[in-house]
Amino acid sequence: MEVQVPCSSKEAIPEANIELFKIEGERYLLPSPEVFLKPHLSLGLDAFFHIGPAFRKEEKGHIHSSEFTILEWYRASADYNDLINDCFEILSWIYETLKEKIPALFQTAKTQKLVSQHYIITIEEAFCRYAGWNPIKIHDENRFEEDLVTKIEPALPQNGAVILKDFPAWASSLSRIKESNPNICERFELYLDGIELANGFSELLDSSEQRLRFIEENQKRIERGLEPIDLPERFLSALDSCPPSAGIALGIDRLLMVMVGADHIKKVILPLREHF
Amino acid sequence: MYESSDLRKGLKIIIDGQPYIITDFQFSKPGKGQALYRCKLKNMITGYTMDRTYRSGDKFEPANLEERKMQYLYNDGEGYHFMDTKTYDQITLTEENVGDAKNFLQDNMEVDVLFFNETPISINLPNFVQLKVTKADPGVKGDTATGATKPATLETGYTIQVPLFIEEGDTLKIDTRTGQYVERVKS
Repeated sequence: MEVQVPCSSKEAIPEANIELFKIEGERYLLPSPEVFLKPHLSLGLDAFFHIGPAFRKEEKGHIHSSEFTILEWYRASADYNDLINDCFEILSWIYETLKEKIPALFQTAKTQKLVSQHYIITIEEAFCRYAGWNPIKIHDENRFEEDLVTKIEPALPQNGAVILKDFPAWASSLSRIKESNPNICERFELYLDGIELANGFSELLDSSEQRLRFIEENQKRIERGLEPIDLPERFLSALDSCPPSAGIALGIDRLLMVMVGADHIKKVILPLREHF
Repeated sequence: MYESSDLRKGLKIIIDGQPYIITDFQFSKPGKGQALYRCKLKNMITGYTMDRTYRSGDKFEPANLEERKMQYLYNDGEGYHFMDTKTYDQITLTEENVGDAKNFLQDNMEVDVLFFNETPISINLPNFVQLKVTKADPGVKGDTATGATKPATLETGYTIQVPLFIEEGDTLKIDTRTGQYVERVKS
């Protein structure tokens, strides 16, 4: 089922590393539809999605644009492993549906083998193998982020789909901590041809725990000179009545980049959008 | 001062007191992580290159660099002397500053001299120069295989590879960026 949401909101999710556009009436342009979508789980919807624009300030690069398109979906009675399966099914479906019409589709991704050949690796394994240390045991956020970009991402297979999963608990944001290991959260990233395409996780559904994390995120914002964000009370109050569930956001523009082999996100965003 | 978000290819900044140019730039933001500004940097004096990663909040001092048109006068063993064509001020550069450009420097040639904080640090030659051949062995008769070359010494003392038909006294067009022969200039 498709869910429509507004482009702007009075509430925003406090995240340390996302800069928001504020518009008239003390509203934020949505950096992600999450703030509206996740509470739908508490209404009894068990599988739904949304495709729409998202806005993040100060993001500009070959795979970053301050306006882009997100596909986000949720499943009740599911966890992050179910979403990993969804990802492979979607990629295969796209390939099967379009390969006749677009001969150059997924030329480098070798997508015909996406389902049979996908590669799953945990953060712990990837870091021990390619960066020589274990971020699950050693808490070093700066080193983690730098090594992820400079050592791990280049070492992962650059053709086809890769799942990097089980992030350190401190990078959990809105995801659930693993029952069997309090240092790991049930979160993953999907890469296709070396490009980070999606971020999914088992949802944290404990509002008091989530409130504490938001306060921590705001603390980091203040340390970095960013304005703290008022706690999203409506969002928090819906959490406790949500069933166990999982949600994921996938960058549509980046998916298009890989599908057609574009080397810059600008090439798949309509050129006129730059002027608005 | 520049902020991290100002970083881009071609920007010149100071690191540890030395001028660097950003030769390659990439914005990264892994998952829910911080923005990372990844740069390949080249030291504009030594040519040394390095990779650096910066974050939001980092600040950078712009490199105070200036290019001036100057005329090459002579090399007296102590250094290479140049004259500002507007002010007639004279300066001296070391052999290290001049680098490979010394192979193509001709008296009175006009070049761009790069100054960092008012100190000359390097020169930029025109892309093409014309130099006379002072020494070239005769080409071996019958050896007409395409692409065959022989060494020839230029008036600057530098030796390059040229086609077999080049003779002493010929004037050659040289690409200073690659240091290679382009063509013979009709005199």
